[in-house]
Amino acid sequence: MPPVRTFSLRDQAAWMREYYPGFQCTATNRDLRCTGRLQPTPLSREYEVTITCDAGGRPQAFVPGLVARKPDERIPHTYAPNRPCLYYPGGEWRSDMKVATTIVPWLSLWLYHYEVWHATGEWMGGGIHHNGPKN
Amino acid sequence: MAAPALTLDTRYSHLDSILELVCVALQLTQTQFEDAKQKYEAAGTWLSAPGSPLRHFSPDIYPQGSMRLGTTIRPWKGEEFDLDLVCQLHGCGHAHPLKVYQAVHDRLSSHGVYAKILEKKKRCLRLDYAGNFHLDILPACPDGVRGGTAIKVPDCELADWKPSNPTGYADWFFERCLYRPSMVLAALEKGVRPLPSNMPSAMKYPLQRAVQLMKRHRDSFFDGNPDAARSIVLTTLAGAFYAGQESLTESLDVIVNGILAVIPHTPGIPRVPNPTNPDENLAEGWNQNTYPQFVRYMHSFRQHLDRLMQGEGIDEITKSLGGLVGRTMAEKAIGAHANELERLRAGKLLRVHPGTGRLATAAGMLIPRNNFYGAD
Repeated sequence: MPPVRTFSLRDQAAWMREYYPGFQCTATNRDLRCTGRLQPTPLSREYEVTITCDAGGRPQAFVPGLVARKPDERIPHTYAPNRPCLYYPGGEWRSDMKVATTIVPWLSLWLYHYEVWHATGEWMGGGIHHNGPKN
Repeated sequence: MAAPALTLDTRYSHLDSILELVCVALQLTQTQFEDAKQKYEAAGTWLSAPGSPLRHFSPDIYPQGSMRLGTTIRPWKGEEFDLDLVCQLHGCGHAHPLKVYQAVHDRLSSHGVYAKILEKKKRCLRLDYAGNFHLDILPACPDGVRGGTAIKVPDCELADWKPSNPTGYADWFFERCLYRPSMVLAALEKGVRPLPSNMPSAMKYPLQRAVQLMKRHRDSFFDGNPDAARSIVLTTLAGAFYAGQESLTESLDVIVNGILAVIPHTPGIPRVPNPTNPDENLAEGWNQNTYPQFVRYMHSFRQHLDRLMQGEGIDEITKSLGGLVGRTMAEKAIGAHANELERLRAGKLLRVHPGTGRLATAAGMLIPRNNFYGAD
């Protein structure tokens, strides 16, 4: 079913400012860029995060400074060491969704599981692998 | 096993839910518990059965120690797990202590199985089972002088009575816990009393959990060293300094601070009086060698608790928790916490706090369904 409505990037920036006044957001017709600090739980670290989206594209999250447990290991559920994969590209995020109520909560949850993974060596947040579903 | 309610609102509530999961993992396994319970009940039945010479003395069999207080933890490494029970006889206050001891011994040794595993100890009779478990049975008579729940137990070395009051001690401990009176009522029945159930840790009071965690750090700090502080000393100190905190983290903080504040102001080797009998020093094993070890253990507890209370990052918190309760136990609790959080997420009960983006359980906006993608 096609989306009933689509939020513009300016709409997304407005929602972000409303939900997270601590985030800095800029939006044009072509791109959205929001930067802020996210602490997933009271015991977690604070992470500097950036969320971007191109017009007609899907939002992406960047977190600089993420590290693997060992040098030859990769961080689970990432496209690159600073790019968590927050959702299954097959339709979990649609342009009628708010970045503020999807990407930010998913990123917070991802960061929690990233710290748990560091603590235990096990990714406990479930997800889908590039080569098929798991958990 | 029931998991404690997961809360993430503050540092303390988040830490509390992790520490409570440690306590859940520290519980006896259901098999260990059922096995101990079955052996306890069988011994109690044998002592008070029709035909038992002890029956004339209306034996009253009840647990004492950590099983009664709900502060039992799994044995450390290959160490033995024990269950203490009192075999209280009546109308024997004027008998010679060694005769009372011998009467309980004779009844046990007239049982084909018990005769083979029975050992005489200074104040109790031990049934030493295969598989790292023993049952310590304490013969006792009512203490007519002290009255109330006071009993006296034979001391074989002194050939005399020693005062004791396990029921009074449990009452004191549960008062300190603010234990629900209805849960103590079951302990007032006569005969073989059922063991308190292997109650889920979620239903325990902060003081009971605090004692479990202090015992666990004692086990890991002393690691088999026989000079380790006795559980009754830790339980009494914890009960004395606990001040009704609802948070487990705060309870530990207050208890440890209370103990450490007293140490520098107590010259020599302090006494730890039994709250039900101030003449009895529960820390009679402390000497120039063992007391300083106890002090080091308390400082170690404080240091690890500080790290835990100040740490940033769940991985850092896990390392600090590992210092307190052992690495395996710490990782197990953190994993259980993540499982519980995922269970809330699956049940659409996990939220995010608008304004901060922090995960929340009480209020906030629900997290829409997603699947983290990508290779791992």
